[in-house]
Amino acid sequence: MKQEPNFITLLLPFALIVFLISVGVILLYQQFRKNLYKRELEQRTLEGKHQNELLKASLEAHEEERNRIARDMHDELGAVLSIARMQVIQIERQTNDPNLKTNLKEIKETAESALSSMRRLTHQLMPPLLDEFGMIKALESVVEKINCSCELSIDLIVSEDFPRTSRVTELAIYRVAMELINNTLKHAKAKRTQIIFSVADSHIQLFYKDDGIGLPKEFAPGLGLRNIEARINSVNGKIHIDGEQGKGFYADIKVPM
Amino acid sequence: MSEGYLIAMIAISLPVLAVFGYGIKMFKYSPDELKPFFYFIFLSGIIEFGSKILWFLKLNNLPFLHLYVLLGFYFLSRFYQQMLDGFIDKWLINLMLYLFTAFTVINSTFIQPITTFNSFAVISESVFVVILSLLTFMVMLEDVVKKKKIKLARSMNWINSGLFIYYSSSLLIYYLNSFLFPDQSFRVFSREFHFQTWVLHGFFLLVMNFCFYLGLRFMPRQQ
Repeated sequence: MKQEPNFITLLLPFALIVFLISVGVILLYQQFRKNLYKRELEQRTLEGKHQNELLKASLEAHEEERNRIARDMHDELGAVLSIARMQVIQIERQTNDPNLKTNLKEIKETAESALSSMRRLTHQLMPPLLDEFGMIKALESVVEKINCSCELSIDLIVSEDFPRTSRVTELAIYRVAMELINNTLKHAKAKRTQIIFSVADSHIQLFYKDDGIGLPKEFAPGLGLRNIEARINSVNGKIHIDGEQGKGFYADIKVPM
Repeated sequence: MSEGYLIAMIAISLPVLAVFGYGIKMFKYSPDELKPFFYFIFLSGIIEFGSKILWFLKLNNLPFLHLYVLLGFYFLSRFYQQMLDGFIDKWLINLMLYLFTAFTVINSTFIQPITTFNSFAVISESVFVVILSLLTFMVMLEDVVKKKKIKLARSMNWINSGLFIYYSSSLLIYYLNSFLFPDQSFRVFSREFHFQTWVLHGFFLLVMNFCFYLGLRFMPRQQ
């Protein structure tokens, strides 16, 4: 006797096949989404790394160029100005004409002023103290000059165990500190500034605070702050800035040693 | 054997053999990603030719089908592995291939011997191919994949469509044959029923091979 087709014999196997296909497609698609997400993440990390490397290379080139200009100014322009000054002194000794002596004295003073300006510029471009004694000494020298001008009082506090680190890191932190001081001088209308250097968990920590006008309510970072961020990123550091209007500005920077 | 029956049986083979010929012509230009697909076309052509000769000689050609199902899925799984490379882990497609191979060997040895129709293996192959083709359609909707496979996308879509159309319809045809009439087999079907089934199957074969032709026509040519 022929068996009557029923649900079990007819539709169940078909439903099972459709179910198998659906489950297979869904599981494989989930796997695909997971792989896609992983790829995107890897790509973003790679892009970030690449950007960081580009930034680092650009900043290094920038510093190299500053160094070269400072060296050339010192060695070439400085030498030419010194020779000119010496020649003026020699002529001054040889002549008895009082008018000429007065003129030569003025030329000598102009040459000395040019030499002094050149020295100041080369120091700004590449502070000699930075390479020889590190960023703390270089900053101490800057702070001393600013404190003498009575425009702003800066307290530079450095922890006792503060070490010297790589030239790239020191240069980056020095430039960042200089940019922050510069911003305070130009925009903050501050009276006092505190700069604290410390070391924690193999990270250099720089805490910067002033008592100026703080950040405006709708604050958009300008070129200076973007440069600071770029420099900190180039040494894999982190920066956090804040400052309510009227309550001063502060920056917290952490850079791996 | 009526003349109409003879013509129909030869006509069913023509699209496969035509694509086989076109495949030989295009093989030298084929990109590496499509190589497994070309091997699948060559296998289809050779099996079709061999089985038709046996059919003319009135010999059982079903052992060819057993071989075709096994090797065909091997090449198709490699093809999908190439297409989905970087998006689906290779081991998943390999797992499908190993499971299918194990099942086909067991089926041909113990359940449906090589002289009988291997409907279970054909249904399993269809299930796996339908899963892979559906997944490929879904994956191809993503921009990332489109960008990566931009040169192959058109060709890939035609090939994938052909495979999907043929294997999903085969699934239905073979399923109905195996489960709707559980007390019958191909050997005891009437000649007329056998003929109509193969004509229907031949139609889907024609559609698939037409899609294959378009896929090969639009493939990026590698010099």
